[in-house]
Amino acid sequence: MNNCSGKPPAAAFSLFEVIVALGVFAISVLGLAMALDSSVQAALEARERAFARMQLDSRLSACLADPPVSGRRVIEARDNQGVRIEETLIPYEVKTTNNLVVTGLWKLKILADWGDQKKETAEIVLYKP
Amino acid sequence: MRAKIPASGGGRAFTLLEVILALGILAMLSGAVYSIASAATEATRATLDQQAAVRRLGSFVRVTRDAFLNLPREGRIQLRITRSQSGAPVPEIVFEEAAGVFGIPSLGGGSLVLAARPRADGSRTMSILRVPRGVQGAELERLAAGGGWVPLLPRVERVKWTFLTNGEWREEWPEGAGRPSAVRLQMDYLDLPGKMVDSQFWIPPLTAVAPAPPKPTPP
Repeated sequence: MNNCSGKPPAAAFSLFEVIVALGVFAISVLGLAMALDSSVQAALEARERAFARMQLDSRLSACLADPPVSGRRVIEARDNQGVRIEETLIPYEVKTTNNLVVTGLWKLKILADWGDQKKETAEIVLYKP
Repeated sequence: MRAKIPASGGGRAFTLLEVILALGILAMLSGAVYSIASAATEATRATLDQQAAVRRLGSFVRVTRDAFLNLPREGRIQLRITRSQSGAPVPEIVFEEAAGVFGIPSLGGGSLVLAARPRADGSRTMSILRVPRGVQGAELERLAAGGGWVPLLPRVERVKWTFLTNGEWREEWPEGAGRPSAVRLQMDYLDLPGKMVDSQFWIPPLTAVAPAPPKPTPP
């Protein structure tokens, strides 16, 4: 600021005010960037989840045609585009109202795991006498 | 910048340097806001495109799964390899005697063809064509070359069908081969780069139907 006219000095922003204003602006820009990043991450996660669900449906079909007769079958993530699949087949006991056990029923459970806490499961009861 | 300007006419004003500095700061701030806004717009568009692509793929896989799952007792399928006008092989799954596939209530004795048809950009489009009863040979070629195809999933590549029977995957499934246990579709979907589509479709096995017991004859 120029103060050579002999009049009282004109008021201007102090350095502190300028720094506070720039800080507020930087925080708001940072907030916008973080919101943008989180929305992109959410969309990517939704895409991965949809893909994992398609894998579950596909494995369910595969198991109906070729069930894991040994009781457990695992497809590692490196062999399956980053989605680990675990299929289990266990006997499933059902009793009738006459307390008779219905035999030949199996519970097929498929777990798709594609990262930390990112899991989807599907279950179905099969009749294989 | 803010300055108290005295009421008198000969008061103090901003210097040229201050105005230029203020304009520079304004330009920088505007640039930053514009960059963020354009990045947000681009990210939103990319996200919406990806979501639409996932929905398209999911819908296609679902209707295809339903087609195989609801294949009636008399329904038949076969894999046929034809040639496009450019000579590229076109794998076609032919559904016969299959009412209700792909949302078509009845084929009227005809058939339905699911094919990966070549596009001008080099990729392919999964499309269906309804073929009326009795159409074959040159008439079928004319029909296939026409515009009766209904596109289901564009921008796919390297489409491969395989068929599971007796625990073994086969790459051929000619007419009259019967009913496989499962069908597998592998392909690249260009709208989901880095992901190969690998879907298996179960076909319920046919069970022998016990003959109906003879009706008791009236005494």
